[in-house]
Amino acid sequence: MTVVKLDSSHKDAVKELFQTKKYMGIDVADSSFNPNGDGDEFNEVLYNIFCSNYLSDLNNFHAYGYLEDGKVKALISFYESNEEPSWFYTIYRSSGNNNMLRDVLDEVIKHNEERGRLKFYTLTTSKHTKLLRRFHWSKYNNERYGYFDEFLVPAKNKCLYINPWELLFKRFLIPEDSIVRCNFLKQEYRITLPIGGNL
Amino acid sequence: MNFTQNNHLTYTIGDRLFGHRETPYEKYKVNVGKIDHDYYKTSNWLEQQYRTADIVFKEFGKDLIVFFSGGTDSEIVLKAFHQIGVKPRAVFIKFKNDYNIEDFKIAVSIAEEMAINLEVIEFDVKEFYRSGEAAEFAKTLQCRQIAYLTVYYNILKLQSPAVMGGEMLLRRHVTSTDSKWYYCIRENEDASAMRFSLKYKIPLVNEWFSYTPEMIGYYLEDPTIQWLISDRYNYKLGSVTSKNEILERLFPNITPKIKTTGYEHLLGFNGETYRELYLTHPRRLESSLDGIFIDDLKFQLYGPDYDSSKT
Repeated sequence: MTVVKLDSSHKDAVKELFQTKKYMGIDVADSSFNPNGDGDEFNEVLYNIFCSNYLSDLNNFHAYGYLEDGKVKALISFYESNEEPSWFYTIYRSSGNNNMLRDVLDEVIKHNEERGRLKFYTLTTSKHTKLLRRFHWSKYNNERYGYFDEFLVPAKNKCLYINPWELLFKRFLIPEDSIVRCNFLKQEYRITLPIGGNL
Repeated sequence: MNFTQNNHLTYTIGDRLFGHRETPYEKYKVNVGKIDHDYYKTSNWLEQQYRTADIVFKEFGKDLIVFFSGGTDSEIVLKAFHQIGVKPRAVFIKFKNDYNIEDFKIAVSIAEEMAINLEVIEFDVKEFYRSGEAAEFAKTLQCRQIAYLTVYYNILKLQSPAVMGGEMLLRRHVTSTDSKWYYCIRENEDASAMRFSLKYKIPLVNEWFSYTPEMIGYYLEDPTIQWLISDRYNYKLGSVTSKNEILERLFPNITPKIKTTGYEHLLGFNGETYRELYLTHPRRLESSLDGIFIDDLKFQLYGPDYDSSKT
């Protein structure tokens, strides 16, 4: 397994992952994503968001990827919140092998747990809420993490809450009902609480 | 337009000099200029006050206005001008319903003592907010603090070069492993002064206490500042509560007073406006500092050969 933290040197290596026809299981040529009906434009926008936010040496924005033969085959980006000990699972891209994505997610969860962040938020369309868990989670973390669905944003509606709107929705109107879910490390696994204060 | 001596103090957002935030992800960076080592050995903090008054007067001319809040910072600004033989216009913004009457009384008393004619602007700060004017101004300038907006609004009406004071605020930045002190120049408040000045083409100094690199250097050497930033367990999170004691020691004949904000009778209002006006700004998600760490500041001030053990 070669899961690495991605940086600006991986810009070309990830580009292929953004040349797809689907985003959150929805056709990227859908007019809600692209007023011009051009899927390539949406992919370009998403790729640019990914590079400028997650590959630019920022303090709160990070990404991990599965590296094989010099190419990134799967990646997950995330945001470390300033306001509470949580993180936001913001973008995933995969060439189709879910095992790679599971390995990346394990590494991202490990990264955050080491920094005292034991819960995180995800966004899926309402019809895919079960799939994410089934296909992208390792057995190990699937057992350790519980979840609850926090709120549903109806199709083509703007999310009310600022952080999910900026981070999960990336200011896009999703053309299907979508759900923001809070995933949390179960209490029985919280043996030592992270320290939440310092001087 | 010079905001400090030769614009030695600058900020960038997303690498745009004196710009405003366009996305939640851009970094905010503060830089300062180098001190002149030979000159530094021969001067002191007080001399820098008079030097600043001299430079600002030469640049702004006799029409310059000092916004006098009755606080220690603006008292020092007025007295620095007084010391070099200049009497600028002194303006006090008096709130309707006497919300800042205590500060007004202090300002009147100091002005009388200095034989200065204190000009008073009657201002309804609540109406300024409720009418939506403050929000519009906040959005234009990307400033969220009603106190700053109030001053900008009145500078705009008066159309004269102005000085606002501007303390050298130090704060403790706390992480999960340690804490480090930094010089705080707040993106949506202090930095908005430059945005205001450039937008409306009215000269404005809002960083009087950082006006020259040397002034910053001397202030950092003050024993109280040294104690603040080097003693981890002094349980101090900022320099605000220590500032008046330091300034009263550094500047002669300052009226002793308790540090106030002018909003003691408007605390709820102040809090509400601070939250609400932020809604007119792009959200900031990247945790870049609202300033510069003291170590980096000293490195920039003293240059690469800086030896921290000598200061």
